[in-house]
Amino acid sequence: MIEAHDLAVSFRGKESTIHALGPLSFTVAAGEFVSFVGPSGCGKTTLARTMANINRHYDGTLTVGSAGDHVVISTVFQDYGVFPWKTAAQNLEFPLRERGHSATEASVIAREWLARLRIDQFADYYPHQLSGGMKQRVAISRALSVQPDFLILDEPFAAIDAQLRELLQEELMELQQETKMTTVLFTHSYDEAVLLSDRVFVLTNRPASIRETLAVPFPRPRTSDVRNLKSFGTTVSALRTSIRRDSDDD
Amino acid sequence: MTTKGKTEVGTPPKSRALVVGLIVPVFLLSLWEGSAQFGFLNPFFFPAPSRIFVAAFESFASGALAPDFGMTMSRILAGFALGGATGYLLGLITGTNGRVRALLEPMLSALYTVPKIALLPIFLSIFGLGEPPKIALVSVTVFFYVWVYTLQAVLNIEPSFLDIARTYTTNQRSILWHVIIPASLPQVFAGLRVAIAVATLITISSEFVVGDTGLGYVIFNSRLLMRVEESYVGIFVVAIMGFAFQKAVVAVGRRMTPWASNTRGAAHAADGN
Repeated sequence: MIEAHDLAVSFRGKESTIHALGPLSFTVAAGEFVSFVGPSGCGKTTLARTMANINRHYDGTLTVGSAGDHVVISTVFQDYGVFPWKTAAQNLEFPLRERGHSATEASVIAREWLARLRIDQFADYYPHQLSGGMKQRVAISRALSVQPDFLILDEPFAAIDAQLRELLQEELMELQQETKMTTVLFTHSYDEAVLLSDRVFVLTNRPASIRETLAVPFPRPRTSDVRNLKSFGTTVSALRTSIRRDSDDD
Repeated sequence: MTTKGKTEVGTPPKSRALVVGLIVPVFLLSLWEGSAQFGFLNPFFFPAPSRIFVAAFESFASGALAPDFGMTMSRILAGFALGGATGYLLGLITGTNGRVRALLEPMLSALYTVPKIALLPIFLSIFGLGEPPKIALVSVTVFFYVWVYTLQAVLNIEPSFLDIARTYTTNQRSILWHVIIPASLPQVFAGLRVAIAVATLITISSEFVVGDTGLGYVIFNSRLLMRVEESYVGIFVVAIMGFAFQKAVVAVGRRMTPWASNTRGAAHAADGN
């Protein structure tokens, strides 16, 4: 699980300190899928980087996993983050080797995961030979191949066209329901948040704090068919109203 | 950065690029030939290209130029290897270690701009005569170029690549091997391309000044001996040599950075210099 208590992040500049985030407190249960939505610039990426242990300077407490345990956190960011100098397969093999798999094992696992995201025929392609959507599939398959305890996704589908986005959302939903990995999604899409999450945290303007927590009423395992439910639309508009209210405060 | 399958406007396809690249030199040589033939140029100082080609053919046929060619070649390559290896190593160290960088970067910036040929007298004092001072001079020159390019390349690596790598491993050697070295490689090759050109230049210049071997010596000495054609032969051979060296570095760079092949890439970044 993830537990944050009075978590706050500031960036110290030369003359002033920019208060980027918080204080905010929340918990995410093991196996839960939560989303953070909020106005742009509110500090979503800062929160994502802090939870992924990329940013290590914060106030308050943040526990990811049980204290003392070694946890595996995978990330997928908007800008793909795939290494241009590695082929799709090599992009997956690198973290797998670092986790102690032999070269042969790593190669087998890499190809399995590329197959699950249906890009195995591009295993030996370099990222510059792939489209944006394919690159993001490489990033997602890389993140999942190490069987992480936690998955942090920061706007993973923002740069992808609408059709492909829906497809990848469905794939992510399926994989998460199957692996039960604790997942945190940062997004500006209300629709995406409602479709995928168990709970949605609505963030305020910068420095973000949690304005509201919205429980998504659809049971698991779900499919993208929930989009057709009437209550899907009302949930999305409830979320929209909640965020709008904040933007109007400006 | 150009995208896949596209080239810049007006860039001819590769097969035609060579032909296009020859247009201007051929035109200038024709102009020169004509001027010499019609007596507009003093043939004593500016012999017609046709006479230079004959002289070149004779030099190659007799093997007279071979020892000097070999000397120049070995000086360039020895200096390039020595300076390139040390420059690359120090570039990686200063690029990845902030403390070492703080210690050495100011000195680097100061020495980088010193014309290295000015150091020749110092190297002569240190190493005496013979090969060592010349190879040292080429090495130092190459060293600075490769150091600066490698340092910049490492500092220019997208932080997000390092962030992602650090979520998967804490092993510094893995990050060096899987991220820092490959990410910097295209720019390192840009530096190597500049370095091999400058190595050629410095070798020839030092041969002007000291010793009695090498193409630089041939160029300078033939003129003193009133054998001007031979001097021009030397100049042409050096030009072709420099061109071939750069092509070789670019070719090796392409092979080693296949992911950069969709851009003008690697070594071409040096064009701006």
